[in-house]
Amino acid sequence: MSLIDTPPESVSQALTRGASLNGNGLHNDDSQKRNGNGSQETHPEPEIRLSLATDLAQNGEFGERWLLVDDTNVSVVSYSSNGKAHIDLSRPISGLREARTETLVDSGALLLVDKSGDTAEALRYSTGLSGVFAGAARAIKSYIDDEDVPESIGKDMRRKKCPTCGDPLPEDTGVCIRCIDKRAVLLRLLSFAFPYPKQLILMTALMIIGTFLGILPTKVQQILTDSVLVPHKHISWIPWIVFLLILMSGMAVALNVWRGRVAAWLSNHIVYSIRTIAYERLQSLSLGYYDKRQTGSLLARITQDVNELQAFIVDGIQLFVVNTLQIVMIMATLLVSNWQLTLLVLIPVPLTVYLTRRISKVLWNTLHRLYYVRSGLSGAISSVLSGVRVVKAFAQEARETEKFRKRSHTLFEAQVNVEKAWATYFPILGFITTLGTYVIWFYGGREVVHNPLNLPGHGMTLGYLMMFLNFIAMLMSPLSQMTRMADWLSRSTAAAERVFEVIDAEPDVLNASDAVRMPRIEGRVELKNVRFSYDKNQNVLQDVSLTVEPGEMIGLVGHTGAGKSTLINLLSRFYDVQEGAILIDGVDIRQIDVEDLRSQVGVVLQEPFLFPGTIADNIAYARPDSSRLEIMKAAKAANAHDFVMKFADGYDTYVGERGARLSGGERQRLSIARAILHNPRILILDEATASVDTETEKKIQEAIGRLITGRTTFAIAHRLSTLRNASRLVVIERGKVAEVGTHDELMALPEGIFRKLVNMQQEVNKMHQEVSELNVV
Amino acid sequence: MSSMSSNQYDLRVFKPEEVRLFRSSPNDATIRLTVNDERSWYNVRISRAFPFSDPEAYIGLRDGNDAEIGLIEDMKALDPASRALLDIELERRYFTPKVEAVTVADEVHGLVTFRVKTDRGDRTIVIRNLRDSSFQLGPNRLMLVDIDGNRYELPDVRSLGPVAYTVLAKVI
Repeated sequence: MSLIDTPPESVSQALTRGASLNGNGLHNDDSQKRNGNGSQETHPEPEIRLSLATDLAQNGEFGERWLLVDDTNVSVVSYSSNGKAHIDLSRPISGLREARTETLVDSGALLLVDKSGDTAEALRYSTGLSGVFAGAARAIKSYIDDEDVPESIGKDMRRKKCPTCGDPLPEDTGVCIRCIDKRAVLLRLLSFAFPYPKQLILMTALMIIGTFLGILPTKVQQILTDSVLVPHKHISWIPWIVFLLILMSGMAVALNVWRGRVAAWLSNHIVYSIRTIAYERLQSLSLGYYDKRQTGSLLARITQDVNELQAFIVDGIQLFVVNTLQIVMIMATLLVSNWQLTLLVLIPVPLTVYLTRRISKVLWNTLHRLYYVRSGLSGAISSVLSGVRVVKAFAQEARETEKFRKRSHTLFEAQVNVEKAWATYFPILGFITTLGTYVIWFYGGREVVHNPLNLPGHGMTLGYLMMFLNFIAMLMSPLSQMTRMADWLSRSTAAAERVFEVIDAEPDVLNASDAVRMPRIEGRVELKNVRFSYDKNQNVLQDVSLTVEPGEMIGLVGHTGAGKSTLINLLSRFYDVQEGAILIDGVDIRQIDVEDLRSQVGVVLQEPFLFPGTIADNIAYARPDSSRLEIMKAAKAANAHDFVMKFADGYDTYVGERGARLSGGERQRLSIARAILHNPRILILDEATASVDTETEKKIQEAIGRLITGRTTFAIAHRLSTLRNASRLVVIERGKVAEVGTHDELMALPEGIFRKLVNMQQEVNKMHQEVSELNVV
Repeated sequence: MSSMSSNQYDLRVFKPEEVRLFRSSPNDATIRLTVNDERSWYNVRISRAFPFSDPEAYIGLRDGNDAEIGLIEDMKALDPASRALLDIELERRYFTPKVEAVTVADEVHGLVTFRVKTDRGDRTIVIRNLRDSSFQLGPNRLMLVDIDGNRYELPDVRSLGPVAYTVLAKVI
């Protein structure tokens, strides 16, 4: 079971020995209470049902402490770093009434309430462990009530840790940036290019030939120097050699252009494939996935992370391959020509690499600060400008100017720091990279002097000296790029991994492998002991049971946050229940083919969402193949046809962002038309008439009246009068079903919640009426 | 009793001598409050009005339903027993560790790891996306939120040494 952490041996021994102790090194403050009747019994092997470590010690500092629950007792054992365990508290389960948690500032406490009502603090924990101990409190409560611990408790409550380095893994990605296998990620990234083998092979070939042609002229120049210029021989070769040099450079450029064009197509195709696959996956994931992640962070995956990848795939990989080829080819040529000098030239390279890394880090930090300060400044400007009326109304111009001056000065300092760092480090770096050149001049120069006839077998020739100098200059740029490449590679593989995590995510709400096809749902809905919570910490629904016959209209009533909308989310199977079951026509909702279910459940929301497009597109959203006549019939039934026909562009009126402005009532009626056309067997109306005037409400009510005929309907409404037509009303209070019955039955309950709500609304209505009468007078 | 106004929109600020705080019973961890020895509340909770800018002033007293009973303006003037209980309860309720020293600060691709000494003991803090997880409480004073949602106060970033400053300078 997941509520078991493995405690150190001395902690578990503390329980065994605790009751019979004295002289065994363990202390027991209140061992008398352990078995509830004051007698001291030994527990030979108490079966531990729950054991969890908290990170706060008894003195309120960070430390290790254990909550242990066996068959009879709830105990808390302190564990010190020297391996000693100490029972701080022990209570018999039979003497407890309740276990609950208390939320403190940046921590929490597990409280045990005994039968006399006295509350004892068992232990405290840091905020990060709140979910774990909320589960523990529920488990202890189940032990007290002698019930089975619900299976959902303890599942996934602990943050997952990286199995390699032990760092906590971010909840929304589960990717350890330190430990990802860069090669595997890179290979997977490249595998997106495999469907295009021709382009891939062509690009590789162009890279190799292009790089070779790029370094060849330097070799030819050496031949020109040693065979023509210095010995003054073969003067007639000069035009041909120059022609060859131009030809080679021209071909190298042409090949690079070709390679660039092929690469642009191929790399962007990879990015396009990844983006499309990731988006498809996001669409297929359940709402539970979205709840755990902020929309911003998901947006970042699709935009920022894919952009990061784009930069790397389009430029990075090419740069990497070309640089590697260039380095290998140049090094090979140098080593073959004069290996001793080559090794000498390489001496400053490690220093250059080291310094480049250090300097990049410093520059990166100063640049980061600059970006941070700059974005802070523009944020401040935009918020003050948008609140300029308030600033002026309270005559605070001078103070705002002073605040801006301070921020602006910080920006000035940050900017100066960046410029200074730039001005300092780059010349130094430039100097260090040229150190190799001086080595060549020094050693190569001496060899050339000792070879006055400039003969290849008698030491270094002038041509080779020039070739060395040219090649070393050519080598430095790819080398310094490669040192920065390591960082780029890490960043991009991390981005790739985050995107792959989306692509690999498994939806919580899955189509069962043995899913039942239900082409026509009758509409009988049963809820059996349903429990649900979004964060596993606090129950939103508990023990909800209800049976609804086909065609019934159920009005859901209750205060804000009572759990009405959650119930509706479960009926649409946006989430799965954690305990209990929802049956539709006797089949568990989790067994029904998701497509069949969704196509027969229709929703009209409080704030109807219209997509950018025409009115006709929006009505036909669920059935894009609907005929024009069907669309108009649906609109007519929804009391929408008349206002649509008044628009100049009729059903072709463009709505949504930057489209025609529709009133709340008009949007609502379009969304009802959408639901009518969808023709669902089970209909959900979520506050469909919340924000419209009485006249519009009447029109919507009429439309709804036509819509619900013959369908099982669940309706949430704040205006209780709108639920008059409901077959039955269900009052939900703090996640539980509090009252069920017809309007009249519930009104007959003297202390009923529904009755109170209706009375309150009537008083408010009366007040409104009185106010409007006064206005008329 | 001037401070116990009947108007529900008035703040009720108790004079120190009006208030007595004590445990309901030796076995009970909850707090009981009596005002002028006339009215009494069980299961009283406390909350600071200005936990960062003035933690000792204006301590709110709330009943079991989390409705405010009133405020204590100056906890120093309470009777010693009440004051001692309030100290214990504040210490319990307000945990936020204060970072006193940073021994290791390491940043790898947006994941920052600090090994720190706090007034509550040593701890390793792992922060993802420093910019979104840090809040400035004042000049050189920061609040950091780690990957698990735990908060840490850094009363003076400049006193934490160059190792921490290199990483944190970006956000102050």
